[in-house]
Amino acid sequence: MLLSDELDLLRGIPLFKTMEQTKLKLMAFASDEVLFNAGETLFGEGQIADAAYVILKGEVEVIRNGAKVGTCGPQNIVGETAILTDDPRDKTVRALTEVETLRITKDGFQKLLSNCPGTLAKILRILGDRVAEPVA
Amino acid sequence: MEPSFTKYIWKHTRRQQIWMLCIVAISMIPYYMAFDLPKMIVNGPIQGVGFEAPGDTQVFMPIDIPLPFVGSVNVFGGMDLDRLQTLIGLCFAFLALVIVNGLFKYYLNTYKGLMGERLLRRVRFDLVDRILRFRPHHFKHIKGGEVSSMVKDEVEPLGGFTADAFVQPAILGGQALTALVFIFVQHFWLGLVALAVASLQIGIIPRLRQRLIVLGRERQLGARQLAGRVNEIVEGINTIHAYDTTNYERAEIADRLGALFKIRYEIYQRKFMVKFLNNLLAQMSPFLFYLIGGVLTITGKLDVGQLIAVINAYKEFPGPLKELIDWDLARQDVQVKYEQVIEQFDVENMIDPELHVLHPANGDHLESPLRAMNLTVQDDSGARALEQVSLDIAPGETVAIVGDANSGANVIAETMARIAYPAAGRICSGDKDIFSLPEAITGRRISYASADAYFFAGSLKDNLLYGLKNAPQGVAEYSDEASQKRKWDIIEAKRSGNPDYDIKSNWIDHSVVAASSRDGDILTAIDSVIEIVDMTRDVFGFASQSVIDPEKDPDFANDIVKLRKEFHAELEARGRSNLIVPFEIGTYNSEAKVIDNLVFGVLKQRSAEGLAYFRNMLIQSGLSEQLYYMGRTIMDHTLEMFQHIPKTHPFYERLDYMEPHEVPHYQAMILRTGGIDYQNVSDDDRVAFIFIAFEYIEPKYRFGVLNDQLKKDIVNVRGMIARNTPAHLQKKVERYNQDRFLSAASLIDNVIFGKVNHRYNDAEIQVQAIMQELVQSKPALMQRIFALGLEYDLGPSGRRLTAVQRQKLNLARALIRRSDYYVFNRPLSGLDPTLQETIIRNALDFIATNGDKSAVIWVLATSELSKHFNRCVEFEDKAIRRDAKNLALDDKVDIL
Repeated sequence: MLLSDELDLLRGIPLFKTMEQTKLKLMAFASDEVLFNAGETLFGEGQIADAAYVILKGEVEVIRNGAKVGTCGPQNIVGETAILTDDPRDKTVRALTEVETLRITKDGFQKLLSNCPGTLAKILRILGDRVAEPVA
Repeated sequence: MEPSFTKYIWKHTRRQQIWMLCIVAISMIPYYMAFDLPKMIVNGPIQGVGFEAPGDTQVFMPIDIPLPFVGSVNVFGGMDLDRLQTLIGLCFAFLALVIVNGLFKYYLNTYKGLMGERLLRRVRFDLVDRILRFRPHHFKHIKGGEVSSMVKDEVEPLGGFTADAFVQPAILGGQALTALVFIFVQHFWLGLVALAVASLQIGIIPRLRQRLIVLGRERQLGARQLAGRVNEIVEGINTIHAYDTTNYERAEIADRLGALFKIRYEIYQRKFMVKFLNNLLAQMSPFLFYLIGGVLTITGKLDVGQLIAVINAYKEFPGPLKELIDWDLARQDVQVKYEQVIEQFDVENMIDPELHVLHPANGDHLESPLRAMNLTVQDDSGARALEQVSLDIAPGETVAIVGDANSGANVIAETMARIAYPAAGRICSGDKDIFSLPEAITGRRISYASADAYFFAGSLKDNLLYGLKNAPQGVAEYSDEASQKRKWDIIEAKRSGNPDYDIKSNWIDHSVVAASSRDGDILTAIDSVIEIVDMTRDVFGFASQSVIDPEKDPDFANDIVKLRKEFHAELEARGRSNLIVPFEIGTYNSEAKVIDNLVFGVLKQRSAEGLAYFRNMLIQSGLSEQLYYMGRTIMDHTLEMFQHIPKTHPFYERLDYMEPHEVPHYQAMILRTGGIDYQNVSDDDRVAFIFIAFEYIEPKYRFGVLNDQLKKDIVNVRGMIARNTPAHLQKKVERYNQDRFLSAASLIDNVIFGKVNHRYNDAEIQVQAIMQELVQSKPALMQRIFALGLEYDLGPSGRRLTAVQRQKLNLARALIRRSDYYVFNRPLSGLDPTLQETIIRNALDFIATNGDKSAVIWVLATSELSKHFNRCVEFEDKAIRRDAKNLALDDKVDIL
């Protein structure tokens, strides 16, 4: 997927809505596109969390304590708590189809935000709301 | 150590010093004779004394030896020579004396050098030997950089002084005295003048130099601390960067250098002032001689020959005197230096040298049980780190010690490993205190690994086998020439008080290799422990990144090319061909840079001719214009994102084509070239944008600037270059060839022969895993690759390993040696819990089957993993809270 398409997609995600266009582009640029085959796990419960994934194409399932709690498709972000906290993963996310994702690393995201504190505050607020939801 | 350096020298070089003194005494005879000759030449043949009448002769060179009580004994009657013959005879005698004196000097200087170097070698060894005998806690108070600076630099002048310690004052004193006596013999009053000036010099100069000694001491201390600080900066570089304290460090270093500068400047001022005074006094005497001697000569109380001889002798007089004063200064200086060094090395409670005596392989075991009795340990601040702990460890027992960082759990492990010393209580093996047992027993029969591992510069294999190098195994074999050298080495080592253990012997003791009880093969043992700590993949990774020379090992290179084909077939069979984008002559490789796609090979040698040729091809094919616009668009996108972020931002690392400081440069370039078409752009700008396009990889940057047509054009130009390039330029490029080993590429690149498609999750790991599986089915090749991986250079302090790899290797290093007790102090704290559990299980199984009934003491952070041990001791608040057998496991063992 081209950077410009990724950018369109990211803008539709609430977490990034408030971010400046160039910052968002930079974030997309600094992130890798990662493909998963059907059945591969994006990350597993209990693992050390280092990145969030924006689903670009395909579908994933979310599993918590061994039970499936939902699915996610394009324009969704999974594992985003990871990029702001040091907690281990609280769920497993597995690809149901071939999945194309954008991997936003914790390190990269935090370094980007360190330059725009305003955005950071907004993101924290949105994140706070999202954490309360049962399925991320 | 001996507090006085002079005594230290005397103790170790007594015989040589006496020998040298004898030589010096003998050398004084020709030295004195050389003084007397000029007078004889001038007075005799030149002025004609004794040759008053033509044809007069004199007896030349009669040898009379004056003996006490007996009187003079005539050994040689001499020859009768006329005036001219006497002149020639005397002059040749003078020449002979000059040569003899020179030869004496040569011999003495060489001998002095030899003696000094031996003593320096001895001092340095003594110091390092002492470092090896410091108790572990002492290292908390010293800086590595300072210690190495002391051993290396500060003792250096000591060697130089050694030879001068006794001989120099003897020679110089002898010379000065000879000259003085000679002057006295010639004329009493002139002698008194010389004596007065000398007393003045000896009296005043050393006083002036007192301050210089103090300054010298400060300089030494300052320089040592500087070395320590520089070392600290190197060690702590990550912390410095992490906290942005580079400028604080700069300020600190500049301040130190300033202080050092001030000291050194003052030293110069004083040194040259003293020199000035010294020279002045020395040169004042000839003034007195000319004046007084002249008057005496004119009045006929002194003859001209005598005056010349006195002045000649006096020329030789201030030199030795000045040097004698210098010698005294040097003596005080080295004494100070020596004191300052040994004061750091004279530590109380050093480990008894007896405990370090070299023992060849011995079958000694530690007696059981290992028993801690009322063990109390204090930390550095004097607070209790362990309180009244008693614990028995029986052979074959596996004990989990559980507790947090303050519980004392790690302290008991450290004490068992002899890193911490008990303040009260004992640890005994049987009834012997382990602290009084030789390290040849404790260090071999107790293996210890903790979370912070240290590795020595060298290969992975060197480090893994480090714990097996307790003593040389047998004698190394040498060729004739080398064995002569070895003999010399042994003699010299002994003369300097160094041990003569041969570093070239085989030091690896195969009898203590853990797996050797099974098949005696060290490679198998390495293989097993590497497997246990889950490092096989890492070793494989190290090998795969290595570059080998196909000419040195053509068979290996051929095997790799064969493997390449099988690997591609394997990927195909597994349906994972998409993990690799192979190099195919007719296809654009999307994961490779544009330039790689054009050259389609590795450039071995750059040349202006090659570059011009390449450029022409691009222009002729029209590709250069396309690449120019491509580069410009790339830069547009890049600047949009990067123009407002700080130069130090890590995102810059993703760019292959722009450095942070180049942002303004490219901004100007974009402005300059805006609205101008390709034909009218300057050559420099054109080239610059084309070079940016060269670095482009579509899936990495995703700017959408590389369409299918452009890819096709690039592949076409690649073909043109391959077909048309003249042969001599072809040689400078190693082109990708499916059937040949690529010497400039790493092993893995040779197998993959393409680019890993990084878009697939963990593509690199998957590729490695598949390759590893494939290689595993070929034991011979596997062994060869594994051996290559073991040669991986860990870098200084093993810094090329990751934190996790360090911990794994550290554990492997302990596991590979057979021991009675394995003490593991949270060795895997950096690993995730699942992996920790796997490794613990494997390690326990491995130790259980080594046939030694070894006990394992493993400190764990939580009790979760204690289920794998047959006993669990919980620590809390510096003492044992609970000590329980793991019944479930015991039952299981019973059933088994």
